[in-house]
Amino acid sequence: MHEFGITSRIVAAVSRVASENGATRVIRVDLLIGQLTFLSPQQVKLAYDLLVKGTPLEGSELAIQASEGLVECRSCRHQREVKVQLPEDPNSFTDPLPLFACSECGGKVDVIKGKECEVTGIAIDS
Amino acid sequence: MVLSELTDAKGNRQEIHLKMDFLQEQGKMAEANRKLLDDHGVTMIDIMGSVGTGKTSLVEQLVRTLKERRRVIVLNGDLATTIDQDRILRHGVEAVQVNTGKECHLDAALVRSVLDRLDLDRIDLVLVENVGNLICPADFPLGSHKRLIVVSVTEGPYVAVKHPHVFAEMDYVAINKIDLAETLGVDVSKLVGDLMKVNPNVRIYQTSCKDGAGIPELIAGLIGET
Repeated sequence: MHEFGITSRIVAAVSRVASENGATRVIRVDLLIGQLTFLSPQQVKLAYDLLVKGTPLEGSELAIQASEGLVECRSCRHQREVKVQLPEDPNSFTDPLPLFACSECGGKVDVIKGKECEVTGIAIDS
Repeated sequence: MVLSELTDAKGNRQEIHLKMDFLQEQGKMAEANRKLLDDHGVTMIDIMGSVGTGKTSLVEQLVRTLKERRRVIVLNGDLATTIDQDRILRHGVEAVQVNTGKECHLDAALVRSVLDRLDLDRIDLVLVENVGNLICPADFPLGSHKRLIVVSVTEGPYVAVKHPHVFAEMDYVAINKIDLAETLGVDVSKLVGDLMKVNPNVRIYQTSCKDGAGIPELIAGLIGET
C-alpha cells in the first residue's frame, strides 16, 4: 500500500496548513503526480477518501493533474519528453527500452521531470 | 514544504498556493541519511529484488566473507517476522529487523530511525535488504551509496524490460541462481542485453548462492572501490 502511506502524509500536511490558516473546512486539494512515479492516481484517490473521514478535509475534492516526463542524457545532454499512457490503457508501456537510453547516443538518461508528487494548492473556507 | 503565497481572499473562501512535494521530501531525507553516513565514514548498500530471488541468501554470502574485513551490520526489511534477521545473526553479524507492517518498501525515515540507534563510529558497512518488491522501492531512495538488485533466473528473462524504472537507477545487478539457468532454459545473454539497454552503466554479476559462483567478483565490485 504505497499510496496509502504517502496519501496519509498529504492529508496530515494539508490539515496542518489548513488549520494554520484558520480553515473550517477544506474544499479542494490540487495534487500533481508525475507519470514517472509509481503512484497510481486511482489508488491515491481511494486512500484519500478513506483518510479524510473525520478531518476538515472530509468531502473535499482531490484534483489530480498528471505531469509528463522529461529526461536528459548524461553524455550528450539531449532532452526528450517521455509520454506514458495512463493506466486505462493496459497495453501501454510495452516497449519501455527507448525511455531510459538516450534516443540520440544511447547514453544513460536522468529524469528531469515526471517524479513529482506535489500539492500545488488548496481551497479552504475560513 | 513552503507556503509560498496567499491569494484570492474572497469573503471566507481562500485559494492557497503551495509547493509541497512528498516524494522530494523522501529525497531530502535520503540525502540527510547519506550525510550522516559520510560524516561517520560508513558505506551503505541498498539491496533490492522481487520476493524469492535470494536476497537474504546473497547477503549471507556477503557477510560470511565481509565480516572478516569490515564491521558490518545488516538491516532486514520485511512486512513481518524476524526470519531474515535470524538468518544473518547465525553468522555472528549484527542485524536489525525493520518491519514495515503494510508498506511495500523501506523509506528514508525508517532507515534513519535505525541509524540513529546505532553507534556509527563502530560500523564500516550497512547492508540494507529492502522489502521484496521491484516496483515501489524505486520511488523511495534511502540515502545508500550503492544500489544492487538481485534478480534470479527463475523469474525468466524479461524482468529488466518489465521493470525498467528500478533497473535504470541501479549500480549493480546480481543475476542469481545462475546454476539453474541451463535446467530452466533461460537465455541469460538476453537478460544481460536488456539490462545494458535499460541502464548502459550497470555492472552485472552472475551469482549462485548454492556453489558460491560469482560471489567473490560481486564483493570485489561492491566493496573494492569503497
